[in-house]
Amino acid sequence: MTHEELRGLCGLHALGALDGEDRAALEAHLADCAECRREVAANAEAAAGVALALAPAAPSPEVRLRLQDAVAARTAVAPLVPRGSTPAWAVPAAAAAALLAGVWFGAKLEDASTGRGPLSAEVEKVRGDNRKLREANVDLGLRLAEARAKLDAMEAEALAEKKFMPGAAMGELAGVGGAAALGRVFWQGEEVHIMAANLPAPPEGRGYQVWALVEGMAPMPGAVFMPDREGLLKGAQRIEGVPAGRGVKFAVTLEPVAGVKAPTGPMVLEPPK
Amino acid sequence: MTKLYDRYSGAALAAAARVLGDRAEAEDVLQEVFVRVWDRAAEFDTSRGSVAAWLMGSIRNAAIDRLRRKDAFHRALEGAAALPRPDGDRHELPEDLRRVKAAVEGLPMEQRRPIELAYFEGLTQTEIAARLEQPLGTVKTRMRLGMQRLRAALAGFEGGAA
Repeated sequence: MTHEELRGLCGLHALGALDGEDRAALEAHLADCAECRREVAANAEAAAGVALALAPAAPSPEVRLRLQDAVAARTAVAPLVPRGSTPAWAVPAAAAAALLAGVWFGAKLEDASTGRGPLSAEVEKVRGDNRKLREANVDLGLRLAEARAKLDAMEAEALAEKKFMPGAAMGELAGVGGAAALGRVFWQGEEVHIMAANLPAPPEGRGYQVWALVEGMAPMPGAVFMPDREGLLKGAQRIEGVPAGRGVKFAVTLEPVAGVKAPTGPMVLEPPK
Repeated sequence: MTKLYDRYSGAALAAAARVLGDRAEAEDVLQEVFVRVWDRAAEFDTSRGSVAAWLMGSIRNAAIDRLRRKDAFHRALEGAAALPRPDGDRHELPEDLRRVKAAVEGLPMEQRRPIELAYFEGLTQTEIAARLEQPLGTVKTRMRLGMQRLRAALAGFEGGAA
């Protein structure tokens, strides 16, 4: 089959309706043809319209509660809130753990009580807090996906503008304390490029300072950067003393705009654990 | 995620119920898929398509999988009586979803029918041709034309989560 003939099958593929030789031929073709992959994706958007056109039916409220419970069960095992490595950074994670434990404990209390009175109000409060926490965690997942997409776009742009060599080392940075911020660092020798997404506007007089971290050495100060209105940050700097090779990590803290020689403010982006 | 649920759970439940013909099962599918969405949200690649298409595709596939697992005998017994009542009148559809609805309803029935058989019953082109007692080539052409029309009508529809 020709490319054009195969392209004509993309709509049926998006509907899951292809079978036999047509299906085998298109699937083999898709592995090599970006245009047809885009064609399938565009058709999948149209196929979703078939479902979206149905008159909506309101799910019963229990579905939302069951969903929250299912998500909470996962949250308890693998919290999305990153664990900080120092007590100050660990506060949000500790609070999350306390809340989850509180709900468990609260539920036990309710079992033993009549379900009324001040104890019950306390249980309800903890439940409400916990629900907010769960929803925040779910939103965090989507916001992280969004941040990753923004970073991909910034990286592609920087590569296109030849801001750094494609062979530069790359490190990921994660938001501290449940923030949906993400960053990437590209470096080659002492030349360090940083990009980050979803950073909140810093308080007056403060900015985001980059640090190079090498085991057994004091953090090496980089430049201070300000995010734009959309929370995107990018910039290049030379950080003296960054050793060759990959035994270096990076972090970002909130500091006075003039920059400091040793970190004083809270960590905003941290290297992966 | 809450936004995503508020915006799409109605359409998602309607789609799952249309496939399964059973409201309780459709709600199970809804929950299952939203939990999966939560698990995989961080892997979601916005460059590959909209959140709406990803979500509705997941709902459809999960419902079809379940349908295939269901015993045909049970399906016949349960029938359409358990279909959820549409709440279209109570919940005003957002403008963009109204456009989608108009686009689908605007398709000629000869194109819409095979597309819906594929989407809601999980039938393949050969099965659709047999069901409609039409030549395979005709079915394929009509489905292709129908999808082209849908795409043209939906061009610019942003099915994002916001």
